[in-house]
Amino acid sequence: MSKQAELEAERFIHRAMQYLRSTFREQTQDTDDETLKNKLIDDCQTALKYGFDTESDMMMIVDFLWRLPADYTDRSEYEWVQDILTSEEMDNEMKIDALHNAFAMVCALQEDEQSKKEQLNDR
Amino acid sequence: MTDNRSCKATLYLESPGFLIPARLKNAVMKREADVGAVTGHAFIGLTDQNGKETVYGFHAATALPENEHLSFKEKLPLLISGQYQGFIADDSKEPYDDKMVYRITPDQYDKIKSYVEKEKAHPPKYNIFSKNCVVFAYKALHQAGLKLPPQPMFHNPISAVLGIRLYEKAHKAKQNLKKSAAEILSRFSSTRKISRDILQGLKNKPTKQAFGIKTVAAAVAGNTLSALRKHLSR
Repeated sequence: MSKQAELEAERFIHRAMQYLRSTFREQTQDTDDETLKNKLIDDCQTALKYGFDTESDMMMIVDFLWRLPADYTDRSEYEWVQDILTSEEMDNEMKIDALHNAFAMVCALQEDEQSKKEQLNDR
Repeated sequence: MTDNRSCKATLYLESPGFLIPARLKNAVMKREADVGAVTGHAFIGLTDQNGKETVYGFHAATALPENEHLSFKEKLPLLISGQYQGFIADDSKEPYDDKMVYRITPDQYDKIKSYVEKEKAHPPKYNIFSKNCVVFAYKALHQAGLKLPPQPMFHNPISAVLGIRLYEKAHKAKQNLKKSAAEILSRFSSTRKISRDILQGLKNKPTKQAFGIKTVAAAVAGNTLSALRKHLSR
């Protein structure tokens, strides 16, 4: 393992931590650097497991995982995440797009259900 | 070297029903009230050097004639489950609203053809999210390295089923994701790779506080200030 590669990885982790702190302020505000770093590395390992090995591809997956509920792997309504990540039919770019599309739909459905509930309560 | 683009690859798209105004629904062609007409459909055509076109599309087995009796409500869970068999059909009679034609070389033609024939012989299971008609068509054309149109937000047929009612809400969520994706692409390398071992090694290392030029500059400034204070206090 070269010193150069290790330094680049350290810089990457540092920038990724900064990104997470600025993008997910609420979720990260009570997390110390060590815990955040280790969670980030775990998420990067997940990305690597599915073949996302460049910095930006890895961060796309990390960013996406942070948007999901912590127990998403146990929830049937999020089965599509695994389906897409393990798909042999799509390349990485298509997978990220498919994850984003499906997530946008889930968010829209949840928002729709919430507003329906609110409408019912108002009546 | 001559650029022999004597073959063609065509991406055909049938619009989801909800994208077509009701008054125009049957104006151009008759649209059946089947799943495909509601969700939209994508398929491809391959034209050889003699001008003969073969058209292929990926479907769920729900589209087979023996499953005609199933209602849309019965079909939907099957399409989502990922456990339902898919098949490649001759879609030369399928209606379409849009098409994109690529002039390709015989070598590119062979690459697409070989992929499609392989899929036809061993079709994967259908999944409306990850193994649908659009994914098949795009993956086939990807074999020839063609630059495909960006996938619109609703590239999964199911989104069309859910209808225009959710369009704005989903669009808003997708815009947020797009913004983050653009930021990631501007801040992180798309070529530099990070190895599993190095990452694992970093997990055991204490977090460094200073990596960037700003932090180094701040540290130098801090040291200068403390040296100055020390000097003045003498």
